[in-house]
Amino acid sequence: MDVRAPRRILPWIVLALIAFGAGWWLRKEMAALPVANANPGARLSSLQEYSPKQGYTVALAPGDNASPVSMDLMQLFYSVFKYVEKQHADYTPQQAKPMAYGAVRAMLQSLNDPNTRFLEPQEARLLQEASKGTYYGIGAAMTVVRKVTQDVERRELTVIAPLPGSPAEKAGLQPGDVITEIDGKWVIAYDPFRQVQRAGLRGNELVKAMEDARKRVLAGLDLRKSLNALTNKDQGPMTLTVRRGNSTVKVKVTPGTLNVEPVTYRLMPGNVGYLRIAQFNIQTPDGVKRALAGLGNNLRGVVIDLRNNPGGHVEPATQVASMLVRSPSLGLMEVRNGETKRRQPVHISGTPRVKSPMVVLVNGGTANVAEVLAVLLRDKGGAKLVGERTFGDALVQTFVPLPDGSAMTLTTGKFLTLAGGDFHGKGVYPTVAAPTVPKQGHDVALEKAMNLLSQRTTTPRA
Amino acid sequence: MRKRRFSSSGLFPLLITLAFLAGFFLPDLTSGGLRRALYAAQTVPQRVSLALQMEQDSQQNYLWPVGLFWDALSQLRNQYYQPINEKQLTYAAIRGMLAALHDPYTRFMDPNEYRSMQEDTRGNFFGIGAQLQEKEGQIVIYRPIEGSPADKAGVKSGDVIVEVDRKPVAGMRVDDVVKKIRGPRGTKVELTLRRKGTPNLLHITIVRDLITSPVAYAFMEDEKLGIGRIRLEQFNEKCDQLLVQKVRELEGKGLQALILDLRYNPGGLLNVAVDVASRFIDNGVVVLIQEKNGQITRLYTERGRAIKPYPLVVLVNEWSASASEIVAGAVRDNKRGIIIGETTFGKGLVQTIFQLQDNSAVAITTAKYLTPSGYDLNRKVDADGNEIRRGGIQPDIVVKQSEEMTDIEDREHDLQLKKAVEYLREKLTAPKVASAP
Repeated sequence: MDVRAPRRILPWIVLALIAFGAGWWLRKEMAALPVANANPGARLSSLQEYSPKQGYTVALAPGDNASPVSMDLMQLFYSVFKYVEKQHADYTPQQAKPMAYGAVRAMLQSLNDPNTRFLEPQEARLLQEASKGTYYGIGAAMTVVRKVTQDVERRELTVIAPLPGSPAEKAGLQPGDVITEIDGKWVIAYDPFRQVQRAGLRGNELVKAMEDARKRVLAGLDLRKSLNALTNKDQGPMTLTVRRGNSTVKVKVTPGTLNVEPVTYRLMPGNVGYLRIAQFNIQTPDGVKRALAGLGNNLRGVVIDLRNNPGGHVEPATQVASMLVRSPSLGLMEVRNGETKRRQPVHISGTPRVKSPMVVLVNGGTANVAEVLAVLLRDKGGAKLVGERTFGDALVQTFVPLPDGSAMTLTTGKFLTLAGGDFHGKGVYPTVAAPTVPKQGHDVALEKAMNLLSQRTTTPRA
Repeated sequence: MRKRRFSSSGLFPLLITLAFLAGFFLPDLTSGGLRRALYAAQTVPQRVSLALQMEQDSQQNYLWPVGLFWDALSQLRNQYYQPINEKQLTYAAIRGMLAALHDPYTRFMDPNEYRSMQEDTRGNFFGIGAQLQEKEGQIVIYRPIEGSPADKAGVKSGDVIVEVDRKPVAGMRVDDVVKKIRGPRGTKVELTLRRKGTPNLLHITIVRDLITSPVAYAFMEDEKLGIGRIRLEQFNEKCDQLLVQKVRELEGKGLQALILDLRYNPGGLLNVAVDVASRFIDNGVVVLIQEKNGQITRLYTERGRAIKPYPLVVLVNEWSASASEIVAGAVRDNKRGIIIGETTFGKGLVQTIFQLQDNSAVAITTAKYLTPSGYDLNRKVDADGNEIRRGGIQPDIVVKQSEEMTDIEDREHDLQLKKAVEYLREKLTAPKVASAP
């Protein structure tokens, strides 16, 4: 029986294999059929390829990979465009581009997330250059902070950090400053109609308030216009009205062009290394490597200055982290997973080059991935944080280039500290508080950091 | 042994079937599961046709709104931090795409909006009977329909709606305000109105009812001389027939000269405009329709339908739009009468509605009206909403309406009507002069 049984089964196995193959082949044929008509060899997974000359080549085929977006929605959008193209009295092909931009801009606006935006090619270029260290305009990292108070949503154009040497720094802009007016024009921060509606006014007061609201909106600057004004290098001197804490100040800024050196260092008295990381861009890891080599191995301590570091790209930050501290990851990133959220570690690998004690300087301009790094150095590197509470911006913005040179910035996740701490909107508190605005040439925070490092070295190690 | 044979012969065909299915669905199972497989099976024909269409398009370099949208939505779907509603995103994208045309009449209607628009054109709706218009960010009563609940409650043209049921409407779209005002027959709605010249806000409660429009009204303005006036509220299918009926009525009272009052008439159907024009112009061009490709179609009056050629004045104002402007333009260009009042609204565009797959729809401006002399009456605005061309029909005699006018039938203060009557009186009483050789 042991011998016969396989023999009896064998034909069935062969048949089963044939059936499997037949099923697979049939499916492939079904899939291949329209492909052959449409575009040989095309796959649904690469729905569009872009070439500047030809425009989009859209190659669709049912089959091996289902479309990422519902075909019904695609068809809906397509139909509307075709109707306009074929039937609209004034349509010209030149309108295709503004229509495309209008569509994507409106779609992103409908998400009600001020940091998820469509960028026209010119705007996209500015952002790309900024991420490489070249800033135009006032030279400050900005974000839009969303606040809801009494059911009125506010979107405040907020300075994260003036960059070192920037017109913004020279003008005295500070982290957390909210820009409320540009040259006397209101930066539209909320829907004034809504505010009037909530105010519970009646009668002619209401009518007047509505009328005022209408005039304010008509005369105001929306977010896009505001950002464009602040990143325009050719604009002459301008006056910004800034809300700082509970006071309002006017700041005069002369926009220009600024190249930020991402890393600077120097050897301080007492064999203490000082390393300032201004932002995380593609040049930052090399800069840190050079700095550490330049500072040498026998340091008594290292001061890492992350003040006014608005963050930047994640990848360079992980490389920098790997040079400073031993840890499997930089922190956690929360991303969407279908309808729920998933947390994933941001891995790092490498051997730390710094063996001496560290102190990290932070302030209200330390934001995003710089905040994650500060916490990592505190928790895994034994570093003390000296300075002021950090900015508290944990949202991960991803720059998504689109084929024609335009782009989107999308909120794609949220940073959490390695221990899972959520610092968004809260910031990270320093271990040792110190004012970080230099007073009469004295950098109090840096002096405190130096003190801490000299104390440490006098304490014998166990 | 026997038992084993039995079981295996039953089992193996099943296995083979399973093997076949496994092979068939392998690509799906490996790349996303059975649900996707079912999805793929369902939508194959649709996709194929779309693929072919788009393939053809891509060769013509037209496709990039679609491509960019697709790219952006795919990225949102894959990467965005918060859950997304792809349908709502698509609707938003479509609205944004159409807004880029800077044509306020080309618009997208989601399934709800489209349904209520259809109700409007059929005329089966319950409301208060007032047409609304957005003007400079405010919701303004365009015209209460005569005899409607709004009219009976004292709502006037030009009233600004401040609140509906004590909820402010500022910043809302007209469609949304209309939705709030409509409701089942017999229910109440309270409007808060601001009226020019009235210091306090008015609170008016109105009972909703079935709305039907009487369309045409006749008045004898000067019985001695026989100066009659017919006011048309809009151009719907009954309009032409009612017009003739009203003319006969006035003729019974000794009609000698006619005022065609098109003030506050927002327009309506194009063919009705042609019918109405044919009552006044026996042989002539009513309107030119300029198609997308620039081709111009002349629409002629239908001969043999004209009433007696009474001296004619057409009254218009800034709320006379579309079909009203066609008729006014036809009367003037055919030198059939004169136009008195204020420059008209300036809507010289034809919209066509296309229904879409999911019962949403898109209204697209498909052609332009030109008056018979070739004048483009369309008002144009730039991207910021600033007027770059006023358009409209400029009256032969411009008469600004009195600020004191409280109602469209307030003849006491109606300067435009007075001017029209005065003009016709002169015309009727002036001695006939033989024309110069």
